[in-house]
Amino acid sequence: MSLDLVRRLFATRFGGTGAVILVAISLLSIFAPLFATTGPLDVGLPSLQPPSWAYPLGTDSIGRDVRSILLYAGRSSLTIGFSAAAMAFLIGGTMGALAGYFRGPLAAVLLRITDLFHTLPAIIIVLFTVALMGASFWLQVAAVALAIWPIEARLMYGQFITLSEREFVLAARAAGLPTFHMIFREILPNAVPVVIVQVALDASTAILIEAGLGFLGLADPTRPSWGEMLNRGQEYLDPAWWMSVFPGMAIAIAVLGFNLFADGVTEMFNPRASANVAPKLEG
Amino acid sequence: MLRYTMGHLAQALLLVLGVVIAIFCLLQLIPGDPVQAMVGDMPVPPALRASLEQRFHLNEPFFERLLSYLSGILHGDLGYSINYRRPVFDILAERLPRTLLLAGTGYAFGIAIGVSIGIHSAITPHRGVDRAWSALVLIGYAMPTFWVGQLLVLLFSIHFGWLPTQGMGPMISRASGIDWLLERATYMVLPVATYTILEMTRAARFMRASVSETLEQGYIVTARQKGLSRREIISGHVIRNSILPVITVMGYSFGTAMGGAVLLETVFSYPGMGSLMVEAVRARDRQVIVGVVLVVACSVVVMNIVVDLLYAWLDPRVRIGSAKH
Amino acid sequence: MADPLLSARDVKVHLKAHGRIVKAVDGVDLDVEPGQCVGIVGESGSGKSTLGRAMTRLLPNVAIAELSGAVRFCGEDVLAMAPERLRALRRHRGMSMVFQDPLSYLNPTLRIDRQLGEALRHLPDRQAVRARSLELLRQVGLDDADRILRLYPHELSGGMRQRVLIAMALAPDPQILVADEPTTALDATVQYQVIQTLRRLNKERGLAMLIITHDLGMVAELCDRVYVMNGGKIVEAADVFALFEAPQHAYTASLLAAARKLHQSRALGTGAA
Repeated sequence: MSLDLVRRLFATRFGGTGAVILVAISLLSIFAPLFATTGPLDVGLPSLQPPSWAYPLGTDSIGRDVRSILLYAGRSSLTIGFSAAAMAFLIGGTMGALAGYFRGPLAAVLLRITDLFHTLPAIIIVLFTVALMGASFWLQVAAVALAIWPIEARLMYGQFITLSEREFVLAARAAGLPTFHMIFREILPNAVPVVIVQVALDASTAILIEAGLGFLGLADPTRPSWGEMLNRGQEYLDPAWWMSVFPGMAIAIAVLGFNLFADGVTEMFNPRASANVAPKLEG
Repeated sequence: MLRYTMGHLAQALLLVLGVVIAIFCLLQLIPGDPVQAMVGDMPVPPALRASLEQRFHLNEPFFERLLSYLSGILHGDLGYSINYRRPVFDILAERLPRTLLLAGTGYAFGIAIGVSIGIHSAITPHRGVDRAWSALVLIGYAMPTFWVGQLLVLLFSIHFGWLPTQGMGPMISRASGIDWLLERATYMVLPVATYTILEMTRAARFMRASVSETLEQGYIVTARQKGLSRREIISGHVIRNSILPVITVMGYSFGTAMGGAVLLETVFSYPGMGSLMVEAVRARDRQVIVGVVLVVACSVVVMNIVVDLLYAWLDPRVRIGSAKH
Repeated sequence: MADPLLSARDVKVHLKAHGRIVKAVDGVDLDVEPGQCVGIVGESGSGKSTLGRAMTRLLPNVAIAELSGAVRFCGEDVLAMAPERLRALRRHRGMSMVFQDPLSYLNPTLRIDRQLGEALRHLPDRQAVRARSLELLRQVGLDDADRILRLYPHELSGGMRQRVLIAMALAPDPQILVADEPTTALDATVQYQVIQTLRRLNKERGLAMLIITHDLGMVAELCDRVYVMNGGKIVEAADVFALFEAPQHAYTASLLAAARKLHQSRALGTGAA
């Protein structure tokens, strides 16, 4: 992203805040070993200690430092967020683009399939898939992507339909440019802002779904994630609130970061969308 | 109007049929022994195996199995849960109303409060108030719903000890009549409140956007030039016209609400469809899982039809348009 | 001569758009006498619509960088007026405005009777409101008034909508009607009908008017006095015949020449080339 785009993002209502949050949590997770005092699976500290100077976020039921797990767990949660969103974009984007570019019976079939998936709530699709296929880490990513791709498909379809009618695309088509060029050079680049927004929103949805899955104890048990921490914390809600409150907060902050970023990008490319003009109804 | 309705019903039926077929095909794709999967993690006696194979036509070709599966559903036969030792249909019939009660109440409160917040946020002349509402709504929107439920439990049950948190009512109760109702209501407070927060943030977001757009419309200028007061413009023109798209969006997102039930009911050990799904997934009770998915799909489709008809009824443009066809 | 009914003195409206300041109206003086029909002509972007909106204090909800000068209506300063006084004036015997695009200026979800009724709240009861509604619709040439009252805006044709909007503007018995491009969105025959309606209101009932348009033909038919606007400023002000006979300003001359060319090509049936 060029410097000018960054400046424009920071000029929006919330976009800058979102970007800062995302960068901060990404850095914290990537450089987790620098900030954590123990490994994510190291036990042996006194168990169920409330937050203090030594353990700022307390310790859990088997004597682990909550801060350390939280940092490492961020890696899985963010990985799921980013990769599920990317995968959903690949599946949904392709389906939507095909339907929107070629129209006709192909579009009808693809859109029906999209509707089919869109009928079911995401968490139900994920549970269904996990129940049938098991819950290894990447399978989980695939399940989440499977649940959220219809949104991408719809969006891409809409973009292709609108952009195909624009003069520059019509001109390119009239000039007989090959399909590949039409899709990747003429149409796609113009859909980029909308796609960025949707992928960011999808990443936040993916993190929330993962949190739910982990909370139900259905995530990959070998990789600590924020959702999985909540699952452990549930039993100890009464004696050890810190085991549930901090992971939940981490999820909320990450999701907020993605949403604010998405809001900011929308506002950046479409100033009226959230430009707040105080209505003058009096006179 | 009648043709409009019939068209929608036909489409909805096709959609449900599609979901059923998709689930059926997915089940075929699963590697492993279907009889074992049906029974769960226990040894299968040969007699049971034979009877199951016969009952579910497991040795017949794909299309005949699909047909017998579909006709079974039409007869209300959704299979038998070995885990619960009851027909799946009966379990669903018991659980669905409870979830609808919980989700419906939360939905109603959430939309009412959220819409009010959205309106206030959009029309307030103070930029700070709008920002505060927007920030609050964004934060609410970002929190995992079940975690909000946990926070409420921490605060109101564990810290203050005001409200019970688990189940639909006490294990043993001698109360009757109004007392019984009140006793049960206390168990509903926290789950409903959590649902309300979830729906509220969404409704507030949509409503704010919708009202902001309405305020830009020409007919608001017309209303100003007629000398209507701010209050009259808002109640007579702004709310009426802004709420229509919000009804649609909220109705279409009914599925999300059903999805929310899965986690919420687990937090509060509320015996509805959501916790049934989780129990079934844990027990690998495939018949129940498929049953839940079917019911959820049907309720979403039904809700979508209701929204379409409601919209057509409320918006004169759609109503007239459909009458002319 | 009596005091003008509506006047503008050094009115400036500067708008903020994309981080820049646009001087939409930049120091305009203008008078409308009682019973007079005054036209403001200019190309789109000349600031004439913004001026009209400022004089009726119906500026759109965009960021306003500067709004200064004085607009006087019957001696009262409109721009400095308290909201209550402004509303009272709009409800009865004040200024009314008609807009360019009648479809978006009517609420799509309400029937015409309700929308017209909102402008008739100075009347004592429902019978009076209904009677006056019918009278107003007939006055603007809608003879099928009974039926129209029960319809929604999208069920009316463009010309009917525009006349409903005019009827709505006439409902509070205004002393002046400000019309912003009242015929632009309409077909030629409907344009003619709307112009006749306005003309009758001005000549027979002595309703003062401020017509904002780029259509010089309409100005010639309706107006007594014309202001030519360009770049936010008045470049020429003259009686209508003087202006058409001998334009003083180069911009006015080019505007007239363009209009004549358009008129000729239409007359020859070659279309606007």
